[in-house]
Amino acid sequence: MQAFLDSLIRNAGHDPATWPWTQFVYLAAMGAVSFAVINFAAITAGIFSWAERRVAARMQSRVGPNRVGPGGFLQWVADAVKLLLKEDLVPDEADQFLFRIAPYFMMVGFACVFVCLPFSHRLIVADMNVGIFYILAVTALIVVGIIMSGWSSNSKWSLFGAIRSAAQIISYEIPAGMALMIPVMLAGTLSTQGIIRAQGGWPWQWYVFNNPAALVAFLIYFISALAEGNRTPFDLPEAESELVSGYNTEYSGMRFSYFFLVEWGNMWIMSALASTMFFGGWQIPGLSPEHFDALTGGVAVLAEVASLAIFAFKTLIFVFIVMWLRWTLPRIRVDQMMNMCWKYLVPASFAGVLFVGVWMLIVHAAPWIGLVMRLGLTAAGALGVTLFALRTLKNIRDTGDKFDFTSNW
Amino acid sequence: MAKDYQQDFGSVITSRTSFIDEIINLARKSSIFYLLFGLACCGIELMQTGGPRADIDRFGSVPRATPRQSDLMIVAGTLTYKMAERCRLLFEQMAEPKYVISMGSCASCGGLFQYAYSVCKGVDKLIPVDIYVPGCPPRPEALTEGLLRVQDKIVRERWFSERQKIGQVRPGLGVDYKVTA
Amino acid sequence: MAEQLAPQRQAPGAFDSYTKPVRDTAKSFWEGMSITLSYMFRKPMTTQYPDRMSVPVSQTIPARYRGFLEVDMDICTACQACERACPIAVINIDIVKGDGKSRPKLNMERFDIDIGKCMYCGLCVEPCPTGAIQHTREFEGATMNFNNLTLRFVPPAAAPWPAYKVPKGSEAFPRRPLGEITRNLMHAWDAPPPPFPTDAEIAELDKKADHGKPKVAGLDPAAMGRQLAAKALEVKADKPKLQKVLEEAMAGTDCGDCGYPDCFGYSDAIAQGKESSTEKCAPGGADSKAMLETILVSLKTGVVPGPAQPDAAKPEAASPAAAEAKPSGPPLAQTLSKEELYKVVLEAMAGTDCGDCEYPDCDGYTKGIVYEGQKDLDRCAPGGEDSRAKLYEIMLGTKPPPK
Repeated sequence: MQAFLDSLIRNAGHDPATWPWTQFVYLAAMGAVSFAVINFAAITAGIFSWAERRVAARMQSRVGPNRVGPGGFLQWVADAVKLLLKEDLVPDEADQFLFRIAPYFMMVGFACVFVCLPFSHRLIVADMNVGIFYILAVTALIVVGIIMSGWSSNSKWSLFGAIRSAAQIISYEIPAGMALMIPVMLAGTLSTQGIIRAQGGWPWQWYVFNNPAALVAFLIYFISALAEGNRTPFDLPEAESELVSGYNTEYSGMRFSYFFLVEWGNMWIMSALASTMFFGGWQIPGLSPEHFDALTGGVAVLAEVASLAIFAFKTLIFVFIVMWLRWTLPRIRVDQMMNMCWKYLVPASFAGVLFVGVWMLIVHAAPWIGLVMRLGLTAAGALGVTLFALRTLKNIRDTGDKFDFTSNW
Repeated sequence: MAKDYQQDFGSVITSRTSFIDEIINLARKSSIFYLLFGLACCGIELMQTGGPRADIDRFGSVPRATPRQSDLMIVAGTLTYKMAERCRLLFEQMAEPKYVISMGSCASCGGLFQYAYSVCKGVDKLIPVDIYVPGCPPRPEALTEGLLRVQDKIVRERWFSERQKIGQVRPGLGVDYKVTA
Repeated sequence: MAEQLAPQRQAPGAFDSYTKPVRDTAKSFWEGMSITLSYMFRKPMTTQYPDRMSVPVSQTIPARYRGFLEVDMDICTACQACERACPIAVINIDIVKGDGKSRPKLNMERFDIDIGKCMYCGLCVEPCPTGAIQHTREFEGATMNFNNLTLRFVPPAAAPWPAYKVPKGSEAFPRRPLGEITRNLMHAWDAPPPPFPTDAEIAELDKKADHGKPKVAGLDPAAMGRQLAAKALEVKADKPKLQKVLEEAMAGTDCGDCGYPDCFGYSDAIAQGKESSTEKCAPGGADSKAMLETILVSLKTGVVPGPAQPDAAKPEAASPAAAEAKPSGPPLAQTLSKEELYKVVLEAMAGTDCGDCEYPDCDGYTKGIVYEGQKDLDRCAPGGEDSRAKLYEIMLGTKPPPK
């Protein structure tokens, strides 16, 4: 970003090091970028809320919101307008200051992640060299917001939800962090763009198919990300049947909409991170990053758009899987949640890190082993997806129904 | 009644809405979150209304477990005196603008249990009811129609300060824009 | 004990018990996710009520669905069997008795069903002798005012509504299509309120009301007759004015049924004394006849008859024998012949043929009492306390015992 601004200033005929307005240009650019990023986050979260409702409805043989705009697409606008206009209640016995400020902590923790999240080859706010570390750090702010909201509401349901959430998020940060270490080890960098560049456009160049430990690491990361985002089957903090609505029980109107927004916005973050770390990010098949850098003119713009589309496509697939999981699995118990983390995910992630260390030595000695493993795992993955698709079609046919996605919208 | 009508409801129901009111009302009517408040057999039908066949989510209505986040309270079922206190409490916990549907005979007037010692003779004794849905229990479609009526009411409203005032002046009174046959 | 019985070789080892949850998870993911995905690619079963349905929802409801109640007032015998059958007093029927001449014998002032309270059990449908009360397939009645949920099957403007007299031996009763009446009542709620009439329109309405067509104005014919009689007495000598008063008692349709070219001709003939029949005004019917009679009688006697006279005199005139028998001891049952007694007893009943007395109709119950020695006189439910008192009076000469 800074380099881009510097080049602009140079083009205008100034030296960025000595020009007195450089800092103002930086400031204006920061304002514009944060405005754009927060709007992007809010709008994607809104659209995801509509998409999730439609997906949920289809999976329950329903139709879902379809009255506002084409196919109900503007449902999220209606929800947003209504929530903004609703009365903002603060309970009498709540801790007024903490109660009011808690949603902003969540919003900050959520929006800060976008700084290091890539969108395409050049489109990233700041390509930090400690990107992953930064993302793991700022995500923790969300926990602070949740605990603040639960405590300040002065309601037992809120407090239960908040404490559960804290226990859950802090526990699952360990396997998530360890699992993310594996791509970091393979790429040799913490920068998100660096990790994408170290992979390739074709599936066998992705880290997820690099070795068995990386595949397991992806699964561990995905499960932990679900838990950190309070998504089903780990939605214990908002368990409606037990805790009314969890830590946001006492929130109404606009403040509630922040919680709402963070929950759905988190889906983009966890999915974007998954496609960055394990699925080659924005890499275009057949176009290496070095060639990409060398492109100029219209072709460069075209390639940029293509990389953006590829990244968005991969991310949206994970978003869909997250939604799909939510409407498939029931909520697990607290003890099961803790069991899973400490007895399975944490040991497995540590073992994976050790395995990858050894594996890298082996591949360094004999590169053909790495290639065979990558191709084999990719083929296994493709086979798994095919078998799954066939199984799904069989499920449809077994009930005497037929494949029909377009009717009764 | 004619005088009351003019006094209490004239400004809300019969006044013209401005363009911005129309936009706001369009958004509000398409996003009515309802409070899960099933009390008896009507509660089963309320769940069914959210289910696959009737699917009230088409109109943007989703259930919320907490009164703070809901716009509509569907009182579904027999309201006992013991529950009546909670009903009132939950209604007061809801954020404005809020609406109430009285679903089924029992909620509307005590219905079948009207002569029972423990049953509240109508939820409108406690809280202002906007729409009464007859039935014992009403079909999911009938409840959907009740929701559409609430939408009808919302699109006629000006902004809710007016409405709040009315709720304080005449609690427990629906708006009478229909003519009895 | 149980452990010993279980086959030992299937007891899980430490590794198995550790990996079992993982295997279970993988398996349930595989199965569960493919099931939810398969539902995603099927047609949802939602029926998009109200607007996006291939078939209207009313047609998808079974024919015997118990929706809102409906009463076809044209075949309602006012027997009140439904009112008595209702366990929670949802149905309310008010009966007014007429004299059987100027007004039918049995009328309903009110027939209300509170569907806001109804529990749709169908108990009222079963005892109905003519099938007038039925469940429809209507179910959409959401309203902002609870009072709207009371269906008034006797329109206030048309009250009192005459009860249907069942023709002897009829098996089937003509009924309007099911659901039509209730639907119309429901739609009336949705109609926008009528605009307030202007002052000019109100004056116009007042003028029309003053004109006083016997049927149209909806006045009590007896009271109007007395009014006209008083007017007629004032203008007794003035024939043209008397003609005008007489014309007011007629229907004013100039139909010519009376044999005169118009109402003026008929009323003029009466005023001139050329015509003495009061029965010729067909559109005016019984009302016109009664009024004309009142006027002519008062012209003859020179006195306007008192207000209580028509009501008080008629029951006594209807059964002169009863009036005679009252002071002295023996009840009518012992003085009259069986045929005469049969007529008197039949007269005392409500005449709705409801069948509550366990006889097929009123005729049967009367025959039972008169010819077969039926001792139970409490069975006429629609007649109520009124009929019971009369029956005890006639048969035993005593007052009925308290229930």
